[in-house]
Amino acid sequence: MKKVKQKVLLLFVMAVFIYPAYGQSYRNATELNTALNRLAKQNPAKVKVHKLGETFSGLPFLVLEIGTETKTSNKKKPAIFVLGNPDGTIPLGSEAALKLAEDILANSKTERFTWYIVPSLNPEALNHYFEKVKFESMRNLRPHNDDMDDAVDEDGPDDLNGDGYITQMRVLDPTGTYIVDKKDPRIMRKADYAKGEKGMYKLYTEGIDNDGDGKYNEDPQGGTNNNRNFPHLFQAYQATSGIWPGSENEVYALMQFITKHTEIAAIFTFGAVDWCIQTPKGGRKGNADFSKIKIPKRFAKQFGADPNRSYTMNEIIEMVQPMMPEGMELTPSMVAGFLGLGAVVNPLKEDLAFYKELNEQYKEYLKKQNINLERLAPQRAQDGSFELWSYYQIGVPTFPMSFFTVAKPVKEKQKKQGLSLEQLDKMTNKEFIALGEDSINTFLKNQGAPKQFNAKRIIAMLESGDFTTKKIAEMMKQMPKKAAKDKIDEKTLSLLAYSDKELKGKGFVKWTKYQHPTLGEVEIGGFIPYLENTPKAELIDSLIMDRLPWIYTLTGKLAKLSITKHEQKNLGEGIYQLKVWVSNTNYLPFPSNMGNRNKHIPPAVLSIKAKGIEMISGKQRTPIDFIGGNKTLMFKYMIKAPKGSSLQLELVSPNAGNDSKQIKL
Amino acid sequence: MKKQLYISIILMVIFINPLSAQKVEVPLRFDRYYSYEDVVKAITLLNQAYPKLTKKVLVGKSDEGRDIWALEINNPATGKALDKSGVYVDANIHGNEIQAGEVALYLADYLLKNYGKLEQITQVVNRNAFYIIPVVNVDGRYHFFTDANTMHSSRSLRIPKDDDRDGLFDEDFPDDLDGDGNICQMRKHDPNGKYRLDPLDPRIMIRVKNGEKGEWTLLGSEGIDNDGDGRINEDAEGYVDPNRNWGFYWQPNYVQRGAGDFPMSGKGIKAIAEYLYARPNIIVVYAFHNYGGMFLRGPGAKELGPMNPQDVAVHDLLGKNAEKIVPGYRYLISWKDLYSTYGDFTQFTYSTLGAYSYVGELFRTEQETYSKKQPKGEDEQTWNSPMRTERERERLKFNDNLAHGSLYKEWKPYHHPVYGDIEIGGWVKMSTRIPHTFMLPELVHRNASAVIFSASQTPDISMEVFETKKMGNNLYRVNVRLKNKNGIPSMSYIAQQKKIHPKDILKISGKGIKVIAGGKLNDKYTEKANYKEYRPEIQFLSVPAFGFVEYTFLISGKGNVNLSYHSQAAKDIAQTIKLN
Repeated sequence: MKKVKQKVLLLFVMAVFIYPAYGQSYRNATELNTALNRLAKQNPAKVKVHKLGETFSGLPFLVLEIGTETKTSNKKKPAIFVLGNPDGTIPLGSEAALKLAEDILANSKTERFTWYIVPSLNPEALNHYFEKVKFESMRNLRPHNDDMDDAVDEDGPDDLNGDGYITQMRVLDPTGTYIVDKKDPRIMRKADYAKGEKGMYKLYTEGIDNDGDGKYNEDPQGGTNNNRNFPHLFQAYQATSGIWPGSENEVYALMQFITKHTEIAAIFTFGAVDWCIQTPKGGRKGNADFSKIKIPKRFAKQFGADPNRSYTMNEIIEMVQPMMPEGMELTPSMVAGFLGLGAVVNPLKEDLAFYKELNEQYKEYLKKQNINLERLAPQRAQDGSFELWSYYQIGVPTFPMSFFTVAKPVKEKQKKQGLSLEQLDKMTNKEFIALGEDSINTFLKNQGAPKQFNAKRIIAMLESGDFTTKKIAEMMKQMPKKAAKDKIDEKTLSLLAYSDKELKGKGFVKWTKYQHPTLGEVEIGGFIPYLENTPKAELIDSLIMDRLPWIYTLTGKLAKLSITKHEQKNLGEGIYQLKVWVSNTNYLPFPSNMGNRNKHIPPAVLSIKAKGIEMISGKQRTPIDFIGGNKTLMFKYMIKAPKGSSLQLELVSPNAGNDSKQIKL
Repeated sequence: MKKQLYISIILMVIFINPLSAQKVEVPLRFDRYYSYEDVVKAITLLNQAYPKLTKKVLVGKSDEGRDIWALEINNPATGKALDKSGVYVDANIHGNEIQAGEVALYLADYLLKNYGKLEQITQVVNRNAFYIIPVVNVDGRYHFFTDANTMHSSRSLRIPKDDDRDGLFDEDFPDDLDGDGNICQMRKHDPNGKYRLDPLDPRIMIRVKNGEKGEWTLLGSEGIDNDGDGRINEDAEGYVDPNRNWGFYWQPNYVQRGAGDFPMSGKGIKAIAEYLYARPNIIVVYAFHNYGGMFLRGPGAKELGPMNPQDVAVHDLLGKNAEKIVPGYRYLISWKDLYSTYGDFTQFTYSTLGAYSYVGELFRTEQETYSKKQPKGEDEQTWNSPMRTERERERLKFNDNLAHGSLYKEWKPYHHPVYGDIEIGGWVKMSTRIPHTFMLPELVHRNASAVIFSASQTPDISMEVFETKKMGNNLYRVNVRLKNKNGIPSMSYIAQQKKIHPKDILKISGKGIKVIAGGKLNDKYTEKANYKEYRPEIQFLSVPAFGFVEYTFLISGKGNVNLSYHSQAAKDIAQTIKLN
């Protein structure tokens, strides 16, 4: 009896030690690493921890490998790469990465894929969340002289009121441009001088002028935001970009890892960006648009082209191909190269199509999970970010996911916005026109439509039949949202409502007087750091588990290549014609349209293996760069072979599957 | 017993190093080319011969694991290296551009040999720290010497790339079919060919005109179809271009071939970037290549927009002098006069590090003359012009009568497994881009002199307290001038504009004093100044080329006043005055 009791107790203690209550609290970088190592220890057959390097301050930077091929570097299975918390300020993303790892193991999701999981791109930034004084900073610990003076990292914010948060200071100042909002005195907004308002306050981050240069908190601790340190649209000279793309250890190590592991077929991130709920942003200026290419004068003369006209890529290829040396096939990337068209900066149309469709499916899925979709929009991917690098320079399907944004307050929303885009989408042209010019104008204004896009014009367009409500809704969704200048933005209102309802008002520090050493009397207050993306710890599990199955839905749609059909025809005298059909039997393309453009992903190779044959036409190894979702390609060969020879058709792709077929001639 | 050991060591050296038959000795000789191993030996010997003035520093390892060495020249008696202007010179980033390495070695050898002998050289060495990496692409140079190559091959970083996208990496190199150590050209007699032989020199192939009958077909570089895909030599080493792999305005492979998987993906490239970043005193950069006879400055890409006029003026001063030091070479703007490049080295050193940067493209084929006339000053763009055949004839005569056949391989029959009976011949790897060794001494001396001129122009700042005025019982005005004797400012304008590093610092301190106000003096006669509101005792500034800046301070108190000037790229200065 006693023994049994002891045993139970022991089991209980063990359980507590082995399974500490994850999901109950957020974990810092060291705790995350401990958890990774523990998973590896518990599942030696399926889990391996790789050390990719160290952070600036020497924290181990680890990747967790889960799968059935952990013992070999010669991977036959495709892999999924998952990056938690790319910005460093979303501890929920790190938790989601670990939760996913546990879920994969618990449900043996290793049949088709290997999983590589990195819980945080910036472990040092993640650790800021756990500091005594919370200051939301995406910087790692590389020192950076922000103010270019004689000291480094010497003037960061200070927790003057000792509440453990870095918030804001407001100071009465005749040159200030802020006023207190009448409806909600917690809100500081810009004075609208056009309406006769007069600015009264200056706003500062909480802190003193530590270095006595007249500026406040202008040189805080640390330097680089690792999620601005990747090469796609890297912004040099920004304070947090880093010295050069990949100057940070974690970033360099990840680029090395991901480019080396060509079996990676899709990339997920768990952070502030979400391409599952909204399509990746376009609208950047760039000249790599293959439908409208101008040919510079010096080339135009050689090609016999008109330098004032725009050409499509296909037109240019047709024009230039005859001038190429024999046997040299002109590809779009070669043309882009010599015309200096530069890098692609907007998501390709064909990729947007699948993102859009999957967005709709995800929203349906979330509705079924009883998740309110009326939430603040997730953030856009930033220049130099991992997300953009993954899509534009690796070119596999990339799915940033966000596990939490604050819900919009219901009442405010309806009053302010009136008609929503979703509603518009479902309206007929007639119904919409029936709303009347005034309502339509209000709606357009609320949506931030450009001025020339007025009700009169839209009605005329709808009536002419050139346009539909659906098309308008679609266009408006693509439009960049203008930040409301004079009105209190939706975000502030939503965060206040969230703080009031969900956090008993604790998400906002009430403005309280403070005697500042150099500014005199100030008030300290404002939103607490991490409010936007870091919900209460008790919600961690449910937020993650609600959305986690979608990852498996998406990975289930990744390209899968196989040899679906083959035919042979005896042409006589030992000559055979062979036709081989290779299909992508899944929804997503191989690798992505962007991947087809950047050609980073190695091609699938279809090869014919046999003894004593001769290829009359067609290559013995045929590279396949791209197969769209649910599409099939046919390859033709002519072979000279003795009758009755057997051929082996082999299809090898590190990230879209392998197949082989035996053929007897 | 001992003898045996010696013999076996000597044998080992010979076996490991079959090409370096020539002994390496200090002072170095420049009527020869140095293999990678010889370069390392030369660096080591220079370091041993001048232990006080030099340091041999391991910068990092290449992709194939070879050492990348730097030779640093600094006179510790005149200060620490980091406290002086840094002049960085590297070479041979493209593995085949070997004479660039000789220029770097010559520069080191010449500076050291003449230190204490020639006043100018002594000055230049005393005032600067030289950082010299004679071979950046150590793998490329190694293979260029060791393997059969064309004059254009072994250029890449040794990072395997599947150029023909067949799932196999670097599987179809050219092949040295005739075993002469060169990859030459193949031609075949063909009644339907598009070429005929030049009647004046049958070694030359001339493209037939419309309607003319040809007799020969050119089949490209010597080689077979190693991977049996129907194409010959289509997947050789790399291709990752080490001069497209740097982390400023880098663009991926589909925008620019050879970019590599990501910026600084080359192991040696990253090591050098970090080496440079750890030496913020570097203000002049020369990177030597071949060929064409050019000194190139940025911008490297049109999209970067024009360079700011302040830095253009500095580049012009050095570049236009370089043009005169090396006659026939032209000082050009990289993207405008050639083509746009992304992620190249000198754009990185200018834009990320703020150093005045040049590419030196060594050697002009035009210098290979067989004529009563001197070569023309300007490059004639003979490529693809009707002049070409005439030039080719002259170059062959040069080969015959000045190089005695060493630059050109006479066409000889060969039986090719695919093409049948062909001929192999043409210019050898040590030709075309690389001068004959008899021309090397002048090339290395002139180009090293262009670097030495730039080094003579690094900021030379002096500080002068030109006025101390008593304004009250306890109040003084102190006026200070910082003056630059030379043509390179104390920091580049781009470094100021983009905040690449902090500006120079002028600081006033003293036990018994307080700086009440301080600022930049705009007019020393009216004493109008821009006073700095906070921390007036510390001023941030830069000293222009051939110019000066003046600062004024209102100081209360008495006693010693310490003035200190600190600059990242110029020598620090400290001075004390007494107020009483």
